[in-house]
Amino acid sequence: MGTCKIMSFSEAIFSFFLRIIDMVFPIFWFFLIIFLIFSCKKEIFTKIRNSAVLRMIILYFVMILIFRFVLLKSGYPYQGRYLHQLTILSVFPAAFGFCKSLDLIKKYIKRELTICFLLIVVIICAVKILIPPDNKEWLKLIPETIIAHSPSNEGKIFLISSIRDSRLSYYSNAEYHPFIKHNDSVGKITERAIYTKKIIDGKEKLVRENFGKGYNALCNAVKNWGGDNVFILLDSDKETIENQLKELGIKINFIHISDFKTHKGQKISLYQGEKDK
Amino acid sequence: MRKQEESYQNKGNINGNISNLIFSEKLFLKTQNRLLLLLGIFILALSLRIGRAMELERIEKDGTELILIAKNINESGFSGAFAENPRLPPLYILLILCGIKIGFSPEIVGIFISVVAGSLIIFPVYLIGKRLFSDIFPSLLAALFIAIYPNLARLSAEVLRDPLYQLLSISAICMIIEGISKQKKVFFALAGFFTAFAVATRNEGIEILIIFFIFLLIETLILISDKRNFYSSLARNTWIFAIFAITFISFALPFEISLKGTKSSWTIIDRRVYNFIMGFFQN
Repeated sequence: MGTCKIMSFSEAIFSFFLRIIDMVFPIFWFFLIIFLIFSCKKEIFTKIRNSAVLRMIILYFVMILIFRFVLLKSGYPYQGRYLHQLTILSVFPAAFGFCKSLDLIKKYIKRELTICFLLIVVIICAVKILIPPDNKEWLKLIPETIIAHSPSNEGKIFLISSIRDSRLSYYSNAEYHPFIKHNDSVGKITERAIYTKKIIDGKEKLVRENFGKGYNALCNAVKNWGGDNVFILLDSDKETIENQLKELGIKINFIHISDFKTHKGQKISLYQGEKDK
Repeated sequence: MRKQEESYQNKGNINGNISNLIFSEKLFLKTQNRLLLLLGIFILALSLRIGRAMELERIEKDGTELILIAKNINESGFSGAFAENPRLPPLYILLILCGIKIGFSPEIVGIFISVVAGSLIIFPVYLIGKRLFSDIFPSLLAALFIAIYPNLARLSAEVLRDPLYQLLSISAICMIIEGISKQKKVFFALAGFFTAFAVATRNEGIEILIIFFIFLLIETLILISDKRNFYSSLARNTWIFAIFAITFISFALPFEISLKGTKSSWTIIDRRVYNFIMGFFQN
């Protein structure tokens, strides 16, 4: 959903270049470089001329490269995994480069030792695969806290959130409403509004709720959507929010539950609407 | 087949030498054990991906939409389905739905599909390698690299469409290459079949059809100066593309037709293509 900033041509080329470097695991770059060194010969053109298979693979590689560059330059929210088709293709030259490096070292080491070379590569990669992912404890704690504080009447739970991570609402079984400035910007709390995702003409769109802006919007949402079934997640700590509320002189109808920290160190505070009396 | 292998080894090319270097009888291999070795690589791929999946505490962001859609279809049928994200292709979601119907948790099914699909990629990669290198060792090595590639393995342990898409698209390319090498049209039909399922997994799958069309066009045009061969090549390549396209449409269209009446806006050709091209020319 949404778009990113459209880059200039040179910015896009630079960004694409960095993504390509990132696409290949460093150890494989070594084999790819060896492949490049040994394949930059005149014979390669004869090989391409004589092999339709090689032509197909090269065309596939080049076209995927072009398609992904167009996608990046068009401003579509881009993720590194879109280049994984090229990662798969890169194993062929890497395998050739590996063979060539074995060919180079076989004069200096025992025949059986060459297998160790392969084992080292396997172990390095296996370790990299099995290193546990970033500890995203907050993604577990926030939904658990929401579930623990949810009213027991099995009604709808609303999560108004400045943190745009669908997992928070998914694991807390809540309906997600972004609290943002507009489509792709969070902005200051006082400039934000509450949005609802709707399908209009087959496209998903964020439609602004008619609750006003900032803290007033949050208070109106709590009032209109029920009370204690409304949870609010803000990207600041309790102290900052309380100071801001004091400055603005606003009285709110939601109470602080807990503060959290993301794995990147960002402070988050969770609030719950006060029960409708 | 055996004769072919012997001829490869007799060629005495670089790959042949390396093949002898590691795959000597003393170490562990005879050519008939190749399948066993490939199976070993598959088990390694599977174990690494399962190991990674077991460390996961939370699924990927994009995975939540896929699961919610599958859950909603299971609970309230297809009429209101795809409301969470109407442009998502249906195949992966339908596979998760099948798992839910059998009685598994949607997260487990999603991860299972990714793990299996991500591990199976080694087979088309091995076959492509065989055609590219005319030797077994580098092709096995390419398959091994896929099995241990950190970026690919880590992604194959998530609830994401990517591993399934990678498997289907690389299988389509593999079938095209087999078709080119063996000159058998059944492979182009199979390529159309895999491309259809790739499109039903991720919209980018349509790229294979475009690339194959460009490839056949180039293969025809390079013979333009030789009129006799040009016309026969034109006829042959048109026929090949027709087989590919007919199979593709026969398998992709039922997905699109069956989604009519739901909230899905998915089509075989992504409607956003125009926006991408316009965005590309903006500064």
